[in-house]
Amino acid sequence: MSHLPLIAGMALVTFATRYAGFSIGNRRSPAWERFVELVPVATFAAIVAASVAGERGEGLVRVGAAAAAAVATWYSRRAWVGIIAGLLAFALAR
Amino acid sequence: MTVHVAAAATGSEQTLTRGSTRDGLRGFRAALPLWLGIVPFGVAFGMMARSAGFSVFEAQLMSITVFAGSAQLQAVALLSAGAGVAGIVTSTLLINLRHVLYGVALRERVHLSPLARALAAHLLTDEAFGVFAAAGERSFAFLLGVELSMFLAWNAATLAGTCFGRLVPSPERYGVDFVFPLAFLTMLVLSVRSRRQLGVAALAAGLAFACKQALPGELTLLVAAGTSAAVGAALGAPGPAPQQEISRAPQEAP
Repeated sequence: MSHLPLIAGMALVTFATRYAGFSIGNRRSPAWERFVELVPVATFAAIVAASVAGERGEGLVRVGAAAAAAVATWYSRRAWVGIIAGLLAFALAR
Repeated sequence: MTVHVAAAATGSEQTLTRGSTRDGLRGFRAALPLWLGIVPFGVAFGMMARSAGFSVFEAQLMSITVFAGSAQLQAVALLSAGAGVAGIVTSTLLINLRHVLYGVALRERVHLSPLARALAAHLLTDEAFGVFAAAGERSFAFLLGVELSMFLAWNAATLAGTCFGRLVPSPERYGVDFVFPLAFLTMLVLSVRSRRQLGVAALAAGLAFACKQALPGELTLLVAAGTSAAVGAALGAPGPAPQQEISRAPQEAP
């Protein structure tokens, strides 16, 4: 069975959602610009909150390791330092 | 080679850049830490796609043309469970709706020609948006470098998965799925610069946690992020006043 129709359909809707944001009219109201500026931090926080605990009953361990990652990132100002610190804390606490 | 395009904005000259090859390489390198999370799941997708009846060509074609990890993994899972094409495509639309917000934010940040816009849109992922936004960059070359880094990692991993996947154990067993929330947490920490942004982040986190209990996962991010950003915008300017700026840790000594 060919999966080409499925792949084509998925590619089309995925591109459409990604392109839609770029195509929304150039609004210049102060409120719109504030909204756009806040989208990144809102998105990052939502992704973290929705996925940090995982699905394998290791929620407390992962949250603790995430806290270690946050502290390491804050002081080093380097994302890779935070990721490594978080993974090490997770591995040690597991 | 750097190309500068002078543009008038609100009555004053504003320089926008397409960026240089060096910017592109910096963007490519900036995304490298996320390979740690991308590669295992790309391998897992390749393996699952083969199990679901995809040929090596079809699995690779999906990774090239769709290039959406969550949607692809969900698609092969649904296919294995007997779902039809229409249902899977609809699910793909819902799970990718959050990308609308990314395009909105990027459009305001970097000048894009129609062709560049189409290319940037095709390669846009959570990780690419996160790295670009956290870096505070404004050149298309940097954005493209980040996106191509993710594209290369995902597609190379897909190929490895379709060819050698049976040799690789489940990524979740080793906690590799933890890399994604860690990566976005570091980007969050590096992006928050005011109490207002901190408040918006806290609201988004609370809404995401609450929505996760009641909404499908694909809608949780869209509702939580969109609502909290809108609330923050409605409450006034997000920029830090001197007395409200969050103090940052001292820079690392060279």
